[in-house]
Amino acid sequence: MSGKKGPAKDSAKPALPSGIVLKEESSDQIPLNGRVGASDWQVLSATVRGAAHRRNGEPNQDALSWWMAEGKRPVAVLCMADGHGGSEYTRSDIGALLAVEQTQMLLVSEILPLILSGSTRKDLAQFNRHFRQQLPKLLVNRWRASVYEHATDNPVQEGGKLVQSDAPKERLYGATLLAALLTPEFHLYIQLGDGDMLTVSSEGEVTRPPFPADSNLIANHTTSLCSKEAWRFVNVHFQQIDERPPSLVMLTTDGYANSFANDSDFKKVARDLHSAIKREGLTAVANSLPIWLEATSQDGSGDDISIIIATANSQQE
Amino acid sequence: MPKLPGGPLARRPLHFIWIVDCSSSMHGEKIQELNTAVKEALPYMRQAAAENPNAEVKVRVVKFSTGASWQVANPVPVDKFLWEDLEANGVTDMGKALQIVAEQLDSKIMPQRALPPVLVLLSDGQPTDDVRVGLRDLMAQPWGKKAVRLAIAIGGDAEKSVLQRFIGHPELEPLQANNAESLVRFIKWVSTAVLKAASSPASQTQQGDRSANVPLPPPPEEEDIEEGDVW
Repeated sequence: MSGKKGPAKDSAKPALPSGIVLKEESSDQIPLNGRVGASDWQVLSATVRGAAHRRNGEPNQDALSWWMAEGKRPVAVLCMADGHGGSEYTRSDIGALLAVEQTQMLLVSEILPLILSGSTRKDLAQFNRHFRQQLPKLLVNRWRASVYEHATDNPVQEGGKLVQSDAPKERLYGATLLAALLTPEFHLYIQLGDGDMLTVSSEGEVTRPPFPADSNLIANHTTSLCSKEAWRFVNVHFQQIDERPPSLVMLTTDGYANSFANDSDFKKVARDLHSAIKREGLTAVANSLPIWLEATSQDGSGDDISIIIATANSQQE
Repeated sequence: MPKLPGGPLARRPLHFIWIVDCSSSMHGEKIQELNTAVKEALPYMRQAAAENPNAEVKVRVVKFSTGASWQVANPVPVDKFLWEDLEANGVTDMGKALQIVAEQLDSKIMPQRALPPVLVLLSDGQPTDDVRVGLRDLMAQPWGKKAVRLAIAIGGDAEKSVLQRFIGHPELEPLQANNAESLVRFIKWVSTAVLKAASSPASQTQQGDRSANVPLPPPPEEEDIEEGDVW
């Protein structure tokens, strides 16, 4: 089984794990939970600089990356982060990039082997607890370590002089985080801050992971990797996939949902993309995505918009 | 390929609410100058709104004296908004004004995707009702807490400690308008610079009660005042 990885916001991506090698026999040890078919994931992604960011001369502060492995046990890992921008978060585009880098490394190299090891199925409740308790701290700590390393290597300077500041270093790098780990038997969803994760069933029903609503995430306020005790704000949902796995999983930064008057109009994005991929094919949709995102930002929120779509390509065995 | 995925695109609404003291102490020059200042600032406000086509600025007006009521109840797009002259008469029921603003900032009414609302409170005196109730109701609403709240103290008798509590941010003080010229400058500033900042804010981290307003540009400075000009 070989791994494929997806480009992030530009070609200057950090080194990501090139894939893990799984023993072929491992897939035989664990049945596919009664399903007669596995699903190859096909992944496409796009990110565009927001219309308002272009007007103001600001960069695209989103970052995304994805990784997948084909074969009898196809798996995919999708990661996305949205840097806050603004005068307090001058390195948030880097913070977003470090967030997807660290999250992907953790999920691919450490969490995925754990899930595929077979013990997950034996004690689902224990794994659920383990992920909810440990993953938030792991993710936040890895991100902070990478941020401190970057800040040490690249001290803040103004006019050629080092800037001394009492403010926590990580604040400059503030970003949100979305991630999904998809295996034939389990899905793991992770969210910190704003942004959206939607799944579409083969019948076109759109749902979200069951994260608690936060009435304070309004008016451009968000929880963040740079928040004090950020791990408290990380939502983790680990679910067993039974008879009806999602046909499409979609991650987007908040610039997309903010381009619509209500959630119903936004959810239609996922349904329409699901239909378009079935009707027109993945390549046609991939070619259109940047144009759609540009137009949506232009006449909608004006914010950066990023999207990762994983679609299940069912194969009868 | 089909049209854009999703429902109809929408700009993000930005609700701008003037909350104006119309008590009898405002009678005469103060209310006249206020009416003139807002009307003169309107073209600049429209221009500032037009510079961010991704925000849809909508304006409303609350007046308070003996009781409080909406002068403009339904949000009016800024390009269609017209200022109707206010008259001054009665006491200073500021708390009641904040209560009726709070009702309209209820999460069930406010659009989920809205930008932070801008609330501008103008007053020249001391509240005559229980302003704590109004402040409590306002800050109990997530949209009230996240609003950009600014206050203009008109003349030297304004109760600045109450205005400061309305603002609720240690680094932002009430703007002190001691004459017609400074009132014009501050009203123009909130109509333009503040509006622009609120219409394209960067994301802010949520840090409990420490959460700050939208970062704002510095307000105009108080200029030297001729003695005869002071209210």
